[in-house]
Amino acid sequence: MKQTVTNSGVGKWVTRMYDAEKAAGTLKFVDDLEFGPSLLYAKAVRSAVPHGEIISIDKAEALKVSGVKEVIVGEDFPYRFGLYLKDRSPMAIKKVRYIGEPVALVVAESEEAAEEGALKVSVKYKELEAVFDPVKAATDNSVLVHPELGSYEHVDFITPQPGTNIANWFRVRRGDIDKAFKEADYIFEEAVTYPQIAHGFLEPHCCVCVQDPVSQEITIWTAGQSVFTTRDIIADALGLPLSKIRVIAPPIGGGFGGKAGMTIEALCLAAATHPNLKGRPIKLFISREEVMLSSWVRQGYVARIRMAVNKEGKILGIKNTFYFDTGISAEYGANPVRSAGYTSTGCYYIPNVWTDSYAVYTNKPFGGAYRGFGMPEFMSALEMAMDIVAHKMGMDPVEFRLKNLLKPGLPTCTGMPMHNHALETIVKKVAEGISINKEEPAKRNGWKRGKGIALAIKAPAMPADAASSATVEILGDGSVKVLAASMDMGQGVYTSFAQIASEELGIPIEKIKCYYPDTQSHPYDWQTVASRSCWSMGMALKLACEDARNQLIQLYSEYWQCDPSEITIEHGVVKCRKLGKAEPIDTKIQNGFKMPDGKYKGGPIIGRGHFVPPDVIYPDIETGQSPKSVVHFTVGAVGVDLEVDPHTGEIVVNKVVCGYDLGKAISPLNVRGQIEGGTVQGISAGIMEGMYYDDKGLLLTPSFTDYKIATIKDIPDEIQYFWEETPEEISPYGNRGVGEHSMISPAPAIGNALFNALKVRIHSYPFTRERVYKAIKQFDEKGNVDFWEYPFAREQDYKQAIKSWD
Amino acid sequence: MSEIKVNFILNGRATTYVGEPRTTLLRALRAHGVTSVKRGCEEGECGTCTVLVDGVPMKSCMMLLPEVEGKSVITSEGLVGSNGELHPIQKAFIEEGAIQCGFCTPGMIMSVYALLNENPDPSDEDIKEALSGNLCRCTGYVSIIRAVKKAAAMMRE
Amino acid sequence: MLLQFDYVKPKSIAETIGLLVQHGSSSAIKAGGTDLIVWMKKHLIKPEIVIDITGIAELSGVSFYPHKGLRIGANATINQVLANREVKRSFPAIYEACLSHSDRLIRNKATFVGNVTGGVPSADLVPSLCCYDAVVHIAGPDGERDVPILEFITGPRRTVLSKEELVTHIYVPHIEAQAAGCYVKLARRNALDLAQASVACVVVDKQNGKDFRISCGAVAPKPIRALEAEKYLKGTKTLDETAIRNAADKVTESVNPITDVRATREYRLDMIRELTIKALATCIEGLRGGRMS
Repeated sequence: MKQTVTNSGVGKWVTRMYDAEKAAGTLKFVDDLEFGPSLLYAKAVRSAVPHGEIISIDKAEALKVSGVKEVIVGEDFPYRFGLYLKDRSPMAIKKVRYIGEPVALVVAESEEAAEEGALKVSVKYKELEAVFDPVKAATDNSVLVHPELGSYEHVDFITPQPGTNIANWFRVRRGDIDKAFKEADYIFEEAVTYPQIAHGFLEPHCCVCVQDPVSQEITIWTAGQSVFTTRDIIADALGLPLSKIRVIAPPIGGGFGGKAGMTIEALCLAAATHPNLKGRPIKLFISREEVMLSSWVRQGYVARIRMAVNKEGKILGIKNTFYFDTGISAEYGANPVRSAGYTSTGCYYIPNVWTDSYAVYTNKPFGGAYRGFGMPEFMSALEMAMDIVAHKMGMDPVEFRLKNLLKPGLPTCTGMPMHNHALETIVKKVAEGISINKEEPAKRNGWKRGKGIALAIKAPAMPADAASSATVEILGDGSVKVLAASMDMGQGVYTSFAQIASEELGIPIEKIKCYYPDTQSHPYDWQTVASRSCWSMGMALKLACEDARNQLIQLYSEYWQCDPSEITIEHGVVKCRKLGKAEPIDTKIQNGFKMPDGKYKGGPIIGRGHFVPPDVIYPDIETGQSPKSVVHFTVGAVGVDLEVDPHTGEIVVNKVVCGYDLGKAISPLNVRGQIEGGTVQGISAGIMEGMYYDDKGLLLTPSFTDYKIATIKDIPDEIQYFWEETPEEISPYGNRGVGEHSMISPAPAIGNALFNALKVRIHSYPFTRERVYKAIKQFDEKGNVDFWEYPFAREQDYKQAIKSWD
Repeated sequence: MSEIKVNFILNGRATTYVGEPRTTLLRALRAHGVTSVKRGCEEGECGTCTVLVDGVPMKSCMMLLPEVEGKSVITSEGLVGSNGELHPIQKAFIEEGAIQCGFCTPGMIMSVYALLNENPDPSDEDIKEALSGNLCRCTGYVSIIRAVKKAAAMMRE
Repeated sequence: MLLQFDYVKPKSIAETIGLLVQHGSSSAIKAGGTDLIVWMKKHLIKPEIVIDITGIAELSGVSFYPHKGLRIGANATINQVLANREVKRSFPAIYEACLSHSDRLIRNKATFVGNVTGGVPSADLVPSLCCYDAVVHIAGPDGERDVPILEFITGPRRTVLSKEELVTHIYVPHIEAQAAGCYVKLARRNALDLAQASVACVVVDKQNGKDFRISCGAVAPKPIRALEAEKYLKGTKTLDETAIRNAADKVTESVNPITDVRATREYRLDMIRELTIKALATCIEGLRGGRMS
């Protein structure tokens, strides 16, 4: 029998925690914290060349600026950091590798003085040849971004290739790929490109670090998604015990992966640990331009997909080559490359698979985690390729997809059997929702209307041992303190956690509080990434709540002399109906119960829970095969009904219909928020976003003036969403992640709808007005159905690039 | 380069700020402990620092400190009642799930406040026009439009 | 971060000119400041003294004088221009240009005149002003002078203004005939963006035939009127699709865009053609529909 009753439990539409403070603006982000007059400010001096040896750094003029305390250079803090691969130092040492790389750090009494000082540091370089195109970098080793690659430490499951620019090479070898292509009736080969894009979270990175000069303990306040991982990376690099580093994450203004792992903290630490500055807190707030340049971005992507298909429309084999442009560091970016690799048949069952997924170094700002983690890039290619194949075979694109669907029980490309899901239902609902086969006239005069669909899939991409733990303390007035170190960066995870606690403890949500993470108080959690929190931390938290509830019930059963099964907790009131007893939770819960024998028992009730995925096995390095390569997949589909102005290339999305199988919606209000927000973010990425460089590697889109993201005037006329709830086996409530998934497939759905509208296939994302117009023009003038624009260095056009592939 | 003294009304209270002329209103307010105005870009591109100056919504990063002399500035904190009672716009944002990370929220709310002052029953197009200078990366704006309509209805009652 | 500067707020035009004479090129005039602050933050300009002219009463206001025209003071914000009913009625191309500029919040601060004095090729308000033959009124130590808008901007971020002069207002003469006008702009997104290309068009229905005025933005180093196209249209009897296309070709021939991160030269050229077709069609339709001044 369920022993708890609440109106604010799992699955209820409740409003969100911390929203009142957010609405009033009183919630304090890192930049809002006050540290008093001892606070110093840091500002980076950044490289002006894309690749070069540092000849000299002249600090003299900077040190003359009033208020400047110190100018620190790379050699002063010679540590390399990285989550998966230690290839990044916070400041360049001897050599710069991209325009924007920090080469020095000016520390001053005010932000203004620090910046004035930074303007006065002069650096001389000896320029080296640079490489910007990932395909060139991967296939021609004339320029090596990291000649020292062989000496870098890395985790076992990534495979850098020393002597090349390949930071990671993930492989899938399944079945007999040559036989599949030999036996195929049709062979298709498609290529798709996507440039780097930026997260565009509105809060720039900010962090404050201080080191105690006596204990040497370090405290870090940071706008980060991952307090423990930040702690661990820093401890590992500096050789400090974990107990000597405290990381505190106040609320953050959006993350989307851009604040995962460790970002700017090490740069700030270079100042905080400096002998002349130790003991004074150092603040590093980076400007929007610096965010664009020097915090990581979504990797650029070039995919070639070959498919072997038989007459019946069954895909027999797939051969994939992916080049992820990871810029100068793959410390985190090595892993989206794996994610795309071990999901490289998408939502389909394909018996024979050969995938090479590469992370490639170039002399550009570096890639890392971004909502979707390799999947928006890959699915933008695969879902377009699926559409092309269907059209070329004269098949209905929906039917072709359903025919090859990865049905429950069938193996994924790593050999792991697919779990239960409702993807077929979702695809049909989405197709129906946009009336995909109904030709409708455009609403706007002279425009062309089209419809398209794309499927979505993603597993949490994380190490097999990504663990979570939580504690739950029931306080003396029946309120609850939840310490679960996930970061609520806007997705609303604390509301979900409070709903879980409410569900399990029978206490109304108003009495439950989840605290922002602090490694000093909170038990360990790996990171808030991978859409894993409601699942992994959800498991730990549910266990913690059960533990606390059991302790409470045990104490009451002895206190009231009844059987534990006769006790319930209803809306914060403990009851034993049989005895007619009902008491709101009170101080007994923390001070102890006076038992019938007159002795006290109990004391503060603290429940604890922990979780690590019990059955994940890393894919084999050579073949990518594993009986369970990931914990689960969330699947879904997006349908787009759009129209396009052939005179300008402008796209207006009339309607988006999307659905995901998320197992169970713990917090429906937040699920809706994730779906709506991710859909618009995906559309924005699909139609306007891209980071572009000149032929010297200078970023041409360094601010919101030229890096455009969707405004309120750029959203679809209508977004229809739904979800299915096929329960997940190992899961607190059957739930799976959903935070990232809504961003995966709006872009390819737009691409497919554009083809439907224009009969032109644009292989290069994003579908900017200019690009769409050019594609139409090329079709009108030359009859070319396929349109390409290679997004990388302007020195090399697409035709040259594709030649170098074989 | 001398410091200047500027007097203005901040959320109904007379305030004096001494600083350099290059101080933007955004930075001056933040130095005063006003945390609702955010540094999102400091170039007029994002709207996270939106405040009302003499009733007119402005991006406070685009205003120099001396410009505010003698003027009245209202921030999102200023919409809250003395007993902590939230303004109907703030309530509507919460009820409609129009807040996620919260970084754009106070600025967005000030733009909505200015809109509803002059147009108590705005259409979707009116809302989009009024909020086109306030970026939000989390919500996709859909819930914000719902919230504005709800707030408008609440305020008309 | 802005570098340090001194700040003065003169009370009169004369005082301002005195300051300009005194400080010359180390000074910068601030009205709205929305360009100035961004340029100073990026260290594109480094004035030692900022002269804030917003305290000068004579520089404020948007006034319409019947049968004469529109006077827009140097301190009038773009939203103040939008709020003047006569602007929408008599100068629709200006009205639409104002609406397309940045976003509503910036328009509360940015001045109309500032968009012109910035001299940026993509300035939204300039093409419409060219179509209405606007005149820039300048005050300096040697007195006042009027400069036609087409001559005022001499190149990217360059104007005829000397370091000792300031613009007091822009004057837009009233068209004493039935007229229609519009401003069409192409950008990368639907709000708060710079023009990739834009076209302003005004068609005046005179007794002896229609008068066409066409100007383009973001496609030339300085303001232009597409005179060849205007002449062609004036001499054309039937304004059918072919005539409009021919005119659009002529407009395209009159511009000289560059490639930058916002758009390529080729796209801009094609868009000028498309936008011209749209603008002409809109104006002709407007005249038929009685959209007049």
